[in-house]
Amino acid sequence: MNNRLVIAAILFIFVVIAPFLNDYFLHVLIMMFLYSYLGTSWNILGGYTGQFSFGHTAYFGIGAYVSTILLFNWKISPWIGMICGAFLGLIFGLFIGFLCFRYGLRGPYFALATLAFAEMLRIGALNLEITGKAMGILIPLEGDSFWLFQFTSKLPYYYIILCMTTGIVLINYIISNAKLGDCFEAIREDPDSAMALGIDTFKYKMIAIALSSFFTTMGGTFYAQYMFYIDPEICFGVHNSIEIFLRPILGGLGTVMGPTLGAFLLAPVSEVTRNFLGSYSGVYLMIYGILFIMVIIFFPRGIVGLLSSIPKEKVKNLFVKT
Amino acid sequence: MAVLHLEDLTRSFGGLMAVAQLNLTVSKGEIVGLIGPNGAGKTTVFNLISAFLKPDSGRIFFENDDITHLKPHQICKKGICRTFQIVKPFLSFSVKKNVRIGSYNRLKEKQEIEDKTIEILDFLGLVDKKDVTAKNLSIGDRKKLELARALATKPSFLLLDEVMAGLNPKEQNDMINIILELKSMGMTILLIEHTMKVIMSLSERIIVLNYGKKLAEGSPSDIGSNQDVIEAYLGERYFA
Repeated sequence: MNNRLVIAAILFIFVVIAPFLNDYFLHVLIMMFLYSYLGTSWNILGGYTGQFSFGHTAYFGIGAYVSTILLFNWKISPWIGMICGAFLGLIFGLFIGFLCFRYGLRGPYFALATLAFAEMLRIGALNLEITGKAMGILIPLEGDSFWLFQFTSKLPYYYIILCMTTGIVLINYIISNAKLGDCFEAIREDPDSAMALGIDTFKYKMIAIALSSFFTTMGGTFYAQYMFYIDPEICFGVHNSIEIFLRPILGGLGTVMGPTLGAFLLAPVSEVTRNFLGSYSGVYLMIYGILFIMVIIFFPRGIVGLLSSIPKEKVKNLFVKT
Repeated sequence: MAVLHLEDLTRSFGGLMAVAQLNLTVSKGEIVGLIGPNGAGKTTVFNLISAFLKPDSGRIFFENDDITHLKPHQICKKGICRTFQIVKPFLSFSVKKNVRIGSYNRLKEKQEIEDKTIEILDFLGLVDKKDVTAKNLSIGDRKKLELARALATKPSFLLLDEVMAGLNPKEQNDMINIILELKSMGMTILLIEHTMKVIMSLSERIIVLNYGKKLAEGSPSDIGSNQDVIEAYLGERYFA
């Protein structure tokens, strides 16, 4: 009960302080929550089920392009575009899942297959007329309206992404306390044992990829509407795939709060290094790299794993809700 | 009445015939021991029955249904559950959670699952270790956990692959008593075992495999004095 109170209190603070922040801080927080949202979506497949998707940006890109194309060409509200995109992303996820899991691709082979699919979409987007080729699409400003998902202030975006992140964390929490989560984790721990105990591993992997792709896609639409500009490299590039799974790995794979904690840690690090070492472009990426290596060597179970090794019962209960 | 029936079951790996035209029948409520020298194909037989491997030819019947083409999880739903020779616990889970995964096979209600899990842990003497992470268990407890998980799926037929290996004599005796108790509850058991003491005291019938073929079949005392079996195990020099 205490844990929930602490998390609710932190959430409350984020809700209340927003109007007092300047645009720069709001932007940092929006990106932090966006990647926390994407990481938590990825976590369903990569963390709980242990199917390490290296091409999750494919779904992100689908979300960004579908809503943008619908808005750009037919003036269809991005909210509808978000739902259309999410279902398209889900179908694409099931397609990848069917191909990979049918033939029992595991570990690095699955990772490479997902990477290949994301690359296919990137090259597709680079060459198709409707996606604006390499130029990308500049989203036209239609006015300050909720229905058009366009705002002149950053504040509405902030509250939207805060809601989305809270929602996905809640979904992760519900999954991890249900039979579904147990089955996902059993597949991650030992697929053979899971099968021998009557778990239809194929079915559960398909459920995991469906949920994960569905929610990741919605994050893509948010990004497009917030940035007003998308291109194939941003949407389907390997760089974004890495950004998506970096936070869950830092925070703790297969934990409810892990991806969010990872995002909280990474946001200040990347902002500080970008500001103070801005004249050396790319240095922040080196810092990412060093941080990443350190975490893998010293805290393979992420921040959550580190915290749970501290013997204080309260701290332990706060984050380990697997 | 035969519950499990293998008909001309064959499986090869490349040029090696792991199981060749094997016919085998297990009756309801029986404990049958499956023995044979290393590489005789015992574990392959288990993998074929539990559908972890597909046979090249031949058929498998369980309670008169053809189960040859089912998938592993469907086999488990049918009531056949296996354990692994090299135990495969879910290492990062607690003992209780390990068993809970098995109980999803038949149960839905949260309270039912909880009760069943505790009941099984109690039966196997693991109840005071229910919150221990599986990776911290001794090999003896891991073997018990392997059996506990299998029991949680409520099987009518158990395939036990060397559940005694690595146990000390006291633990072996515990395990023998557990298996006898399972039999008295009406379970049919097919077990692979290397320890002669165990196999002789538990099995009502023993089937000896060698090079994937059935070498001999009979009661423990028949097998103990069977010349072919002695030859297969010890070599021809002792055959005199």
